[in-house]
Formats: sequence, structure tokens, C-alpha cells
Amino acid sequence: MEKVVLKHISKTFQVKEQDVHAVKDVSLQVEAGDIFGVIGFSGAGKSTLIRCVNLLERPTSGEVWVNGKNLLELPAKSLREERKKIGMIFQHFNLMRSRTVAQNIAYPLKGSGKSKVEIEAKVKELLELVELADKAKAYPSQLSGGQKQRVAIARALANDPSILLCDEATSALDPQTTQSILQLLKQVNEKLNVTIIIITHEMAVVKQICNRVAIMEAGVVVEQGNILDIFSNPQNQTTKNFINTTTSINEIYEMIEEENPLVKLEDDEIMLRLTYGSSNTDEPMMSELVNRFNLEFNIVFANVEILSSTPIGNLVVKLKGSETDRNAAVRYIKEQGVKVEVLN
Amino acid sequence: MGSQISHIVEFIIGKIIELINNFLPMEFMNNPIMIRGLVQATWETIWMLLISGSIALVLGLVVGVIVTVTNKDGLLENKVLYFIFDKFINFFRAVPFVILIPLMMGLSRLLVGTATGTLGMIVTLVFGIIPFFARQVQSALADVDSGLIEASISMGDSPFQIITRVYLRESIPGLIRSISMTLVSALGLTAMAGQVGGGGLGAFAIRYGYQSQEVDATWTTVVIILLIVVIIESSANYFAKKLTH
Ligand SMILES: Nc1ncnc2c1ncn2[C@@H]1O[C@H](COP(=O)(O)OP(=O)(O)OP(=O)(O)O)[C@@H](O)[C@H]1O
Ligand SMILES: [Mg+2]
Repeated sequence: MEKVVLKHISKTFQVKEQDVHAVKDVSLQVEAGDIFGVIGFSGAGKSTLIRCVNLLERPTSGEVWVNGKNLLELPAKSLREERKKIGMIFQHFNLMRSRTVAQNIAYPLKGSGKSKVEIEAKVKELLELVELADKAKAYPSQLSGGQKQRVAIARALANDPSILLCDEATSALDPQTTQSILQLLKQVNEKLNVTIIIITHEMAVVKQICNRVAIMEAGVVVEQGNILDIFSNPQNQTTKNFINTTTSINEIYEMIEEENPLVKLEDDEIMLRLTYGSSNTDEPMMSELVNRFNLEFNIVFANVEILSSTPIGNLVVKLKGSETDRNAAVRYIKEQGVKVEVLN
Repeated sequence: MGSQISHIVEFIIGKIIELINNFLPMEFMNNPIMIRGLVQATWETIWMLLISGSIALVLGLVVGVIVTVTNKDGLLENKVLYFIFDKFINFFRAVPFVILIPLMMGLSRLLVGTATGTLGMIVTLVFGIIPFFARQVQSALADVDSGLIEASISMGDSPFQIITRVYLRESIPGLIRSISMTLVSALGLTAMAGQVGGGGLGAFAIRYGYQSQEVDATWTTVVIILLIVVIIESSANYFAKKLTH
């Protein structure tokens, strides 16, 4: 079932008589249970796009469907009711300074028709979920960044939303705290059945918890799909750049540029970058290659990563041998469904 | 009830004056008519300040909220309302208070039936204080992080809820400081209002200190005024600090 459907969303800001096209004709579908990542460089329009989902920003054109309702057609009061079912967390947490942790979490429950006792019980349950039971009476100024984001998550979950929007939720946090927040989000997704949309500029975040991803550039979604497909077979250059930021394979390109002796090739050598998709990672391809062709192999770089519990391999190898054998080997590798890039 | 309170206040003021007299023996203090006048004047000042202050703080808060939310990119952006209230504030801030006094006579007669005396001055004082406080409120509310407003919109709050639960609630320390600044500046206005029949310490200082050249009388009013200022500011600081987390 689709939780969020964006149809041909465009958003244009007017800044001093000038039009800024922040989002241009973006269409997306987020299915129930997804952790959907939207990645792009600064200014790509990610925040504007996610803010269109709960109409913090009203798109200039297009349709926003959430839980089967066309939000742009709802009167103000019904829109507010729908917003209660869409949690949101922010880069800078946006907690109320004058309220304690418990009061912050209880904030969205006021006027929900719940009794005081029920609200207290709910706050307690949420505090336990985010592992901050001992901080109920603390004020936000007394918390670390990671703890603040946990409070924000608890607050966003207070009304039992089925969708959680995260705008750069981990960008203000150190790597270790980022890990723990991502784990918490994954837990929220799995245990509470909350569909999550995550905005980020870090591919590592996408790699770690998303099952689907859209790559944005200059207001446009340039590529989107299943994370395995995107990682094993990226089409767009921006996507490739983002993927390269998450592996040290980039260094190979630098080494080639610097003419490092490690990657220097003899006349009868070629260097290949192989990217294993989900279906072919466990095939004994390398041993087959050695048996079939009269070639010498030399592994320069190897890396296997687990994405959505499927391994993705990256391999840089040198092949030494006659040109015919080399070409035949490349053909063979391609036939196995492995992506091959000749590096020089 | 009202007269009982006024008796208590007069008693306290009398005690304070006695205390001042113990440390700084002043000749005029031996004149019971003067003492009575001083007590009366202090009481009038406090009365003018409290009545006009509380009316103006409530109205000024409303005006301050209106200009904040109707401003460009505000919660309830409204060019017409913003224009009217913004110009209202600017106009009354621009007119010097001594000119405001004759200017407000008509309105004062209309609202409280008189344009003179302590009561008559109340309307003028209220109009003198509102714009000052409204601007203070506006700047206190502007300090509320726009992220909080967004968060509360995303949680499904209505504009009214955002005003009460975020804007006002989250800026309480700032508002307390604004109130204290406003009351202190209003104290200055009450002294001026006193000249044209409002009574109070300003009028007292002019009559005895200026016209009769009783230097002691002037100094005594200064001490009392300082005392009032210190009480306002220190209690504001205390609460503002206590409510800042
Ligand atoms: N309220 C606004 N008024 C005018 N221009 C805006 C507004 N909000 C965003 N923009 C512009 O729209 C473009 C996209 O901004 P947006 O914040 O969506 O980018 P982003 O991908 O979230 O970037 P970042 O990673 O830096 O947060 C930018 O050029 C920005 O200047
Ligand atoms: Mg952003």
C-alpha cells in the first residue's frame, strides 16, 4: 500500500522578483514499511520536498497524497488532524526549552482527548522506547544532541503516527551518536510499523537503514529505486559520486591519477573494477576465471558490504595475459551479470 | 476593600519615609502636612502605574502578538492588519508624551468621563505605554526559534495554539524583562502626567522641590522612585532567571 504519493510536485520561491525553483516536477511513491531515503547535495531541494509531505510548504503545483488523502484539498482543520498522524523530526531538534523532557513528549497529546493518566502512561512508554526514562524531568538544555534527538523522536511518535519524516536528523550528531539514532529509527520502523522518509546528504545513512532511495540534484530526482539496484548498478553520475563517498574505492581513482606504482600497469595488463550485484555475489566466479583463462590475477582492492541484508561486492583486479584472453575474460565476467568498468 | 488596601499601602509608604528620615534626617519631614502629601503622592504614583500599566500590558501584548503574526511570512500574514497596527505603534511612539496629554483629552472624556485628575490621566498613560510595550513584545516573540513554530505546525497545532503554547509560553523570560522595562519607563510617564493633575511624586517634586526650593523634598522623591524601580527590576530578574531553562 502506498503511504505517501507525490505527483509532479514543483515548488518555486520568489526571492526579490526572482524565481527560485527549489523542486521541479518530482514524483515519488513511498510504500508502507519503507525507510525511504532522499539524498542530495546542499540546496538540492530535499528539505523543501519533505516539507511538502505535511504541507509545511505548499507546493506550487502537483498533488500530495498521504494515507490515501489528497492533503491539498483538505480544509485547515482536517489538515491539522492529518498532520498529527505524520511525525516529524529536525536537524536542530526543535524542542521547547521551557518544558521538561516529559512535557515536550506530552506536548502533542494535549487536546487529544486522552486523560491525564493516559498521557502519563504514554509518555512513560515513549521514554522507555528511546531509553531516556531517567531524564523525564530534565530540561532540553541539560541534554546532549543525541538525547535531544531521542526526545524529538519520542515526541514525534506520541500520537502513534504511521509516517515519520526526518530532515537531516543526524547531521548535527557525531558518528557514534548517528549510529544509535539510526538504530532507533530502524527499531521504530520494524516494531511500530512506522513508514520513514529520511533526508540526508550522507550516503552512509542511506546505506545503513534505507530500503529505497531517491537521489536529488538541482530540484530534480535524477534516479530512484531499490537500494540494492542503485548501489550495484547506478546510472547517474551524481549517484555514482554519492556511492563512492561511502567506500574507499575512490582512492583507486586518485592513485591512478597520481600514477601510484601500485596501480601501474604493464603492457599486457588491464585493470578492472567489478561490482557484484545481489544475485551473483556468491558465485565462485573468480576460481572459474582462473580455470578458464590463461591469465594472472592480482587483486588491488576488495570490499563487500551488506545492504538490506544482501552483500554487495566491489573489486579492483589486474589481469595479466594476452589480449584475446583478457577480452574473453571481460566478456565472461559481464555474462555473469557483474558490472565491469575498465579503469585505464 | 479598596480603601483597606490603600490604608495598608499608605502605612507601608509612611514606614519607608520614616526609615529614610532616620538615616537622612530632613527638616521638612517634621512638617506633618508635607509627610501626608508625600504619602499621598507616592500612593498616587503607584496607583497610576498599576492601573494604566496593567491595562496597557494586556493591550500591548495583544498588539505585539498581532504585529508579530500578521507580519510578512508570519503565522497569519495579513498586510492590512499589519499595516494598521504597525502604523498605530509608530504614531504613538513618535508623539511626545506631553503632546499626547492634550491629544487624548477627547478620548479620555469619552472613555472615563474626565480628561483631568489621576483618573483622567489613565487613558493617556495607557496610550503612551501600549506602543512601547508592543514593540518589546514583538522583539521578545521574534526571539522564539522559528523551528519551534514549524515543529508545532507539524504536530497539528492551530494558529491560536501556536500563539499561546509556543510564542507566549516559550518567551516568558523575555516577556518578563519587557514588562519590567515598560513599567520603569511608564514610571517616567506618570511623573509627567502628574503635572497636569494626575498628582503623584512628579507633581510633588515640582511643587515642593522646584517651586518652594525644598531640596530635601526632591531627594526624597528620588529615593522613593529608585526604590520602586529596584523592586520592579529585581523581581523581574528573579522570575526571568527562575523561568529560564
Ligand atoms: N523559504 C524559502 N525562500 C526562498 N528560497 C528558498 C526557501 N527555502 C528554500 N529555498 C531555496 O530552495 C533551494 C532548495 O533548498 P532546500 O532547503 O530544499 O535544500 P536542501 O536540499 O534541503 O539543502 P540542505 O542540504 O542545505 O538542507 C535553495 O536554493 C534554497 O535557497
Ligand atoms: Mg535541508
